[in-house]
Amino acid sequence: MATNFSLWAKTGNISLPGTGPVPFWGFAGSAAGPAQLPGPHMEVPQNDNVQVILTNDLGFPVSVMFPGQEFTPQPARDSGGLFVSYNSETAPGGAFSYNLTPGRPGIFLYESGTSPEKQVQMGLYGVMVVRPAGFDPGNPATWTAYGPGTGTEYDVEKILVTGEIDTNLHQELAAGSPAAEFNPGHFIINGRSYPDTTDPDSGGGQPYGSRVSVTSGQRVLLRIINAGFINHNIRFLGITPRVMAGDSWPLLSAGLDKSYEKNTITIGSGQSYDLLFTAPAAGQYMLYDRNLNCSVNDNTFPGGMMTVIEVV
Amino acid sequence: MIRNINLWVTDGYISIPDGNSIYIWGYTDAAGKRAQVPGPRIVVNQGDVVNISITNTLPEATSVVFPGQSGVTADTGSGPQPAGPKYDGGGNLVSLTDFADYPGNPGGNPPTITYTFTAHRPGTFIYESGTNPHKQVQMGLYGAIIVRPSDYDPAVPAKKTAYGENTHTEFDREYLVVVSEIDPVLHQAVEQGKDYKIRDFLPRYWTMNGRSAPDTMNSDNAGYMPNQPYGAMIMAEPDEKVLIRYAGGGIENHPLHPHGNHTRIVALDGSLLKNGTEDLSYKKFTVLVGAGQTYDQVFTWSGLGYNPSNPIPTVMPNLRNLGVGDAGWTMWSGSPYLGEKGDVPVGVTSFNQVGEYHFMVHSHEEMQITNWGEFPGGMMTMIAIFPTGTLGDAGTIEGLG
Repeated sequence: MATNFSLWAKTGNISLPGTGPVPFWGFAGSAAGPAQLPGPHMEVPQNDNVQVILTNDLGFPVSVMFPGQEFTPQPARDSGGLFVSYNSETAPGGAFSYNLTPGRPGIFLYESGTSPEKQVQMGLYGVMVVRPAGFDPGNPATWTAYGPGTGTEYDVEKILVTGEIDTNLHQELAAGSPAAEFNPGHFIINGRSYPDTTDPDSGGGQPYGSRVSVTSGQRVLLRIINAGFINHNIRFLGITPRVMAGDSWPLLSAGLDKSYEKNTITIGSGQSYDLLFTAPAAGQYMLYDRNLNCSVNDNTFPGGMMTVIEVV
Repeated sequence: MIRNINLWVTDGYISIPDGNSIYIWGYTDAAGKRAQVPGPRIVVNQGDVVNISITNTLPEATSVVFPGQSGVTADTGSGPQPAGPKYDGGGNLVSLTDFADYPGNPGGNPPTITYTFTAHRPGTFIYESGTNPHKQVQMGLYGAIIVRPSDYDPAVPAKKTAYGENTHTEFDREYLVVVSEIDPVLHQAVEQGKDYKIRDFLPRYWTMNGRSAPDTMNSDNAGYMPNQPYGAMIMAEPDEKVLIRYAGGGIENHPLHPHGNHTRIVALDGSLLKNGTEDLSYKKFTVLVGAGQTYDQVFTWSGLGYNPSNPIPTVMPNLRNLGVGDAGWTMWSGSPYLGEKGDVPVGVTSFNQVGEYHFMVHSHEEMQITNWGEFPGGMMTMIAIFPTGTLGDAGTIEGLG
């Protein structure tokens, strides 16, 4: 089997509470489509041959790499032999094909490996979901994160990609001028800050909402992955989920159950956690960063890395 | 049982060893008392119905969230309702949960509220403000709740446990250490009514139970720190099981470790690390105490082959491990033999009592073991191993409830 994806690296603008348009660099899912934050979700079956064709509409080299996957990056060097990129670059105006065969299910980042201190902050990241063998999107009875015997059966799945934005840095990088010191004032889930996180999915450059809408009794799989530079502490009120996987290694396998319940989960940069809970009684349950200086927009609470689990 | 706990939300000052005095907001257990940090310890039993009423005297609304508890209700006078996020008329979130208004707010809510939950499971939990938490938690509105397992019986060793009989969490003594950070500029801004700019957050003090070292090592209820009633010195005798409960009250993660020793983590956020018969507890040297999280550990000191017939507790300690710095004090006895005292370096004062053996517990983010840059200080305390038979038989935490 083979699955092909095409990505375009582009400039765009996003909107955050209390700011004007914030320039960013992101991946688009079509030649005519807008750059997105995060990039388009890529969903592939385990053991598929995946080809990602990146077209670079930016004015400088970019690349894409797949941390945690069976994929060997090819570091790029300049003509003087100096390291310039973790992975083969796509030249401005050009296209390049990246190939991998995901050998295990889970949730993984894809992100730029070229000047990532700039390009990842600017938005060149997204998520690839690898489905376990036997997964059939049309048959809820087959929905698991990691396959049979991993305790990861679910009814509702939600992906939450965390990050931070320093709007000054974005303005300066977009203008090509030297970068300011990193001091983010905006904290995002799926490219949006609260209260925008609670808005529905949409078109445009910030398509993914983060409101978790479920029915009492449903099994909810939250897949949280940190694309930012800062560790975050994801706090639940009224719900204590069970951690079923870290960095897409299931904690229940071969009869040994190492899963554990945890109310507030520290998620390091580049890490992921799969959390499972049964939706409690109807009501609104807050989910937010217990780094309380990240649950704000600039200096104002509420904001930032916060959303609502709405149980009906 | 029904537990009725009354807290007042008010202000006060805490003392820092460098002479600074920091304005705080905090909880206290009686009307008219100044706020304390952390808030009063609440100790209840599994299965108890816990009613926690707060009376707000601050100039803004406040509330309490109970992470790790479920089915929390709130009652502002019209009967209990499921607690949840509160919005203004325009649909803007104003509080993570139902709140007590500031006194005298025209048309506002009452300045009192009662939260109720059933303590479904044992463990160490946090309570903290859910209103302007970026400010109120930093100002000191946080505390810890200990829930005893339903079969808890301190008179029966097998039932003096953190999580119940046969959970491998028996203890002889227990300690609770709530860590946090203080940015004095932000505290001063609140005291003076200036803008509170969390983006400028730059802590200068790091605390264990609201105190910075060396005050961490002073006793509970030390008279000169009336609003920081809890000491953070961990004291035990050889071979005792010591339950250490860490809680992250601040907004940063702190890597804590005891020099030369390892603890066994038995529970996270009040969830026992055990599935069925599978014991998932694990040993760790440096425990990353995440913000808003709790870590229960069991620790037994046995030295390097120490026993009463081989009384040398350890190799000769390195002076840098003893708190001997420019401060000119040490906790070292001067002797490697437990229960004996010897010479300490000239000019150094030893606070050692009966030849007990001290080793440091501190944040390994080393700038955090200073008080505004001056070592030693900050997020540091000692574990003190006392000669067998010298500590007495106390050793459980008392609290409201």
